[in-house]
Amino acid sequence: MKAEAVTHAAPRARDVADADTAVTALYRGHALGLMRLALIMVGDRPTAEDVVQDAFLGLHRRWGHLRDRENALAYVRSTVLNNCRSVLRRRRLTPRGRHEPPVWSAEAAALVGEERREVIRALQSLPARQREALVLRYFCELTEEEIARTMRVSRGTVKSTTSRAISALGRILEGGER
Amino acid sequence: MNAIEERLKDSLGAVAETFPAEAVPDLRLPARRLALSRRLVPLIAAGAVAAATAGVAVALPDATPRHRTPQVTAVPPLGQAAIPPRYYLAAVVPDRIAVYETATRRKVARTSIGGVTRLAGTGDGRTFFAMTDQGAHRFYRIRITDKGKVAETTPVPVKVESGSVVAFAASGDGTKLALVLQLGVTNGTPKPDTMRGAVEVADLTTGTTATWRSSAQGLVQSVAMDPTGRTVAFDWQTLGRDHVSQIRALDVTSKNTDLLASRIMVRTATFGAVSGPLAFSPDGRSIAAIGQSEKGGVQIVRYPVTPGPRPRVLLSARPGGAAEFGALAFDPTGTNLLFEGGGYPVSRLANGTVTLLGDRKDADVESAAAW
Repeated sequence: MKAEAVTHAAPRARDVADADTAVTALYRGHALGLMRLALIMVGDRPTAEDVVQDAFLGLHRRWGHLRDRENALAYVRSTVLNNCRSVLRRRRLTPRGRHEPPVWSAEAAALVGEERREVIRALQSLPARQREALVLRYFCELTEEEIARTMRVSRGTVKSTTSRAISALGRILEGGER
Repeated sequence: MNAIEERLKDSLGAVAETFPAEAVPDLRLPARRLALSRRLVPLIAAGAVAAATAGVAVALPDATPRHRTPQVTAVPPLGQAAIPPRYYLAAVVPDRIAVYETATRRKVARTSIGGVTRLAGTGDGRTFFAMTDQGAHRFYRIRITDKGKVAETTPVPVKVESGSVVAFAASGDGTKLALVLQLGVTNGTPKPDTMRGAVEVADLTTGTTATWRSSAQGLVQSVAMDPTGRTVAFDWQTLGRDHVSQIRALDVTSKNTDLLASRIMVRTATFGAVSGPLAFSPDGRSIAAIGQSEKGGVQIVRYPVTPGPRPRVLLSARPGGAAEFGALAFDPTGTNLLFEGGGYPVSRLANGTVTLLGDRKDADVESAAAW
């Protein structure tokens, strides 16, 4: 994935030295939220951890090239989402038996409850873009502009995608449609 | 916030809570090493060449990676290969497509098409097709000028019969697309008991499609179309104990709609086939595919289309490199092969020499490329 905020200037030595501290601080502050986001998207904790670790390693590698470090969180969030897409795509293309996310394990099922699992199942039946828009809006609580930046689409697309997704979710939950 | 939104928010929160704060692992940053500025690399390389010419042994700093594969070069070797196509298109899936100049690796243009998952070229170096997957599969024809600028991005209406499109290829004249469809996958979850493969050929001039479905359970994941557009090659794999892995050739004039009535081109007896892209040579007499060595290594293998000549290993994946490949494409001379995967970014392979074209570090992110 290539970030919008990447320049082609050579990294300065000081930047490389700062990267460890800055990226570690960002990780401490946001790893939990991002891992939960990845968990919702991919369904299991080990994969979610890997996805987020990879995103932060990518950020660390590119730290010297970042033009706007204030947006490092947006960059890493976008990478997490992209990595989740890759994971889901690989699963779809290389089926080796049915994938049962631990979200549906007995322990998790007890914690989440059947009614909420029904909502998550309905969410998972939506197209990928609609699913992502809903998770970013209602779990990450991002604004339309932030969602647009994360998904690399226009604000109008976010608005229409979210609206369509909510309608579709409503139809599935209320009508049992699949 | 309406009732649905409230239910969704509550459910997402509940699932998120199953990941407790104390379960977050520590960040594992790589050990620090001496990083060379990109501007210094050419100078060091030039110095090394000068020193070598003068017969002086060059000692590189300890931090310089020593595991580099000998056949890999950063610049095309002189006189070893036919001149490759001037441009290639690449996209780090699912990013936007950019046009790159092969010789300089310089990005010369960028398209506005986002969410690209697959790319295919017709072989003329100027006409390409892209597939996007943003809820629905959409196809676009892209034409570039002699200067590498994007002259046209036209949506191409292709009616997908059913299932999910996992790969596609274009005919040499750009009038046909061959799609491979995976049937029996619901919401990204494969159901082995209903899983079928299908090949659909769309005629872009008439808007008609023809579909061949497998009569048995299995997977089709990659496709190539010979330059005449008459033969479609695809991989066929079955799951379970009697695992079968084949590359088959489908005659698109065949009236038999059973995909498995097609001819078996390659069996796994010699090389274990693994899933990956396919590419016909420009003369249509051989096909490049991803194979597996007896020791389990992943390779790019050139198989003859008709029985006789022995398959030839073109390249072995880097040790520890990802086994997945995202792209394979011959140039019109059949000498240069564009590929991505096996631990390599988008690269050119000619006469056993790899020239790195992409400088992407995320080797695990799939990439689409064509020329």
